[in-house]
Amino acid sequence: MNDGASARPDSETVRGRGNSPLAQQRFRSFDGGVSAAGHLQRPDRHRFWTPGSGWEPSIARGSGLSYAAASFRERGLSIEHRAFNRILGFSSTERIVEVEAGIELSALHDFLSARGAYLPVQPGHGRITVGGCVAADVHGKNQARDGTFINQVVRLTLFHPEQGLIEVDPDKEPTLFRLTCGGYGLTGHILRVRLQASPIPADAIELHAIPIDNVASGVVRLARDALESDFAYTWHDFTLKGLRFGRGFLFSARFAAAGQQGRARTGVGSTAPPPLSASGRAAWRLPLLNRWTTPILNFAYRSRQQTLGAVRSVTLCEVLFPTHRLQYYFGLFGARGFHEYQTVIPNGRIDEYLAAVGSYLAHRPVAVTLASGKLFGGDPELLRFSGAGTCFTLNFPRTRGAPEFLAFLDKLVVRCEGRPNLIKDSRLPRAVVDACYPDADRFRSQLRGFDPKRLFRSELSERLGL
Amino acid sequence: MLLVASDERDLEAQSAHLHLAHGVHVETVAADAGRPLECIERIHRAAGAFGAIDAVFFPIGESSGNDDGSLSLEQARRLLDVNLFVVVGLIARLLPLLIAAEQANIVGFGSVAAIRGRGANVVYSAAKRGLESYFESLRCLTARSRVRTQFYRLGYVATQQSFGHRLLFPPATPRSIAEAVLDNLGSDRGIVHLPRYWSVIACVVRSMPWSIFKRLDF
Repeated sequence: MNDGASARPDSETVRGRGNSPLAQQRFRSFDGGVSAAGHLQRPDRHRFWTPGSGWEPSIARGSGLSYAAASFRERGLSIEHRAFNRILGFSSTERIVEVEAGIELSALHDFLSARGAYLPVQPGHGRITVGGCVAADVHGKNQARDGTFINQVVRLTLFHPEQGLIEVDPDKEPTLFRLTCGGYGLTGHILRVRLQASPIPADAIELHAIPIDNVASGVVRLARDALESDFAYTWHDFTLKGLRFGRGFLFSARFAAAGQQGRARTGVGSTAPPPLSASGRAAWRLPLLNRWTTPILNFAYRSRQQTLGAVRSVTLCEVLFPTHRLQYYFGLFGARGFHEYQTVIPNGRIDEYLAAVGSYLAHRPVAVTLASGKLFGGDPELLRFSGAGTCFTLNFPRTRGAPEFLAFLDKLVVRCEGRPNLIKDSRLPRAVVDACYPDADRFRSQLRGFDPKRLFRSELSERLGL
Repeated sequence: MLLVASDERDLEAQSAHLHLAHGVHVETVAADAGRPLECIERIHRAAGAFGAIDAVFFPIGESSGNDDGSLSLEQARRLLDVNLFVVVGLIARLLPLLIAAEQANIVGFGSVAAIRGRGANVVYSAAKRGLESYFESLRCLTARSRVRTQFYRLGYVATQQSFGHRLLFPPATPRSIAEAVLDNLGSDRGIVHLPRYWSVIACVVRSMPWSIFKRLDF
């Protein structure tokens, strides 16, 4: 719609590529760790994706919810895809859906669930876009069984300013396909994605909240139960000490068996997810989570789980997008934000990793507000966050003690031959990535082979020398 | 539904989405409103396949950053074509179909730029003022029929036109505008401001003494 012309142009506002306006923008990573001033374009017409010379380096941006600064950089150009959010095709027999990359997961889930299908691999919030999931090759609630997002991608369409539109088929363009899925947007703009959905096997999902005495027993139980579950993860209280360190729950959910009484099919769909943004998360300036309040938070969470019961019926949406109801949690960190340290620790080293973390926290308390484990599988390749082992996630506020704890974790993950998740840590040093990802140089050389001018850049790519 | 836009690729994506997500049968016409005769002819031909028409919406417009009184005749002509003449020409062709329908709506979209001429968007504002006048007449012409003629004077809307600008007031989302327009279908309201608070601003701007107005930079 044409709203006319009473707008007052910003002093720096100019028309950019494709006659699309450029806006000055202050970007912020979701964890609050990186802030940068750059430009944003928000095209909404396909003619914008016209190849040619004169494209300046840029980076694609979806919902801007990455913990790391993967969709912006200082004085850089970010191109937002959210206007390209349509469903382009659906085969009900094959359950293959084609979408524009700017579509949000919850919108896609609404569409698919109404047709008896869903994507097993999805991150925890429905506001994240499909393009972002491809670029970070995210994992879901049962990575050991379902793998990462790349396993659902049948084909994608990539736009590169000098190479035009490229249909990236895993069979015909395997190198580019594997470089793009988990390539952090550095191969080009992902415009369209064809995804393989799975059938929803039953209307009802039964969630078991199994109490665990400590983190070690939780990891053992997770390894035993995860492959027999549809969704499985643990939650631990890391504010407890001694034998109770990491007491918590194993959450294991399964679709109900055929014929079992359950919720109606309408239970699988989602309501619109609450708005979520990096600036919104930081709206409450005062941090409320610290060494004194975190035990209270954990106690409240544990009590809540006990009140809800050990076995309960939940909707698919609640299992796929648990943070919809808990997103206030991120706001409690205040404007300064938080750290997330997520690693895959190989089988056989997880006890060493957790014992070292426990020992550190016993002597130098850090307010670990979240500790959670998932079983992982697959072969690590390039910069994809994968590999057999246990994925362990820690959240803690940006306090004075945090840098020392992070330095300790960096050394520990290298010692345990683990892999930190690039998209979850906005300060992860290049040295740690190079030590943990043997394919990092192969990623760099493949990327330069495909795009010698390196037309796609972000703070993440510059920090890691990609 | 018949969708008209200038780019075939946008139409393909939009029609696929409307069909898949909402079950709507969509036909499309890719045409440039800057070539009004060709555009009108193609839309009229495509509309003929639908039989009766329930509603016609004209969320169309184009402005130019150089529209400061120095536009060439050709450039000015294009702004008039897109913002005014293509609407006038198409309604003239579709009016018999609309009047023949059991109930129909013609919905036009203007701009707050037409409230009072300024030193910017000179031709654009004139075209939109002309469109308002045209819709006033159209409302009279259709008053004794079952056709309802509605006209919306749009303030800031969060589109490409307002993106990147420092706005004096918060923009409305296209979705909220669309919802308001759909809610009002069938009603006989004349010119309506959206967002509604623009009716107050319009009143202030119109009644402002020239000695003050000429000093304003907006």
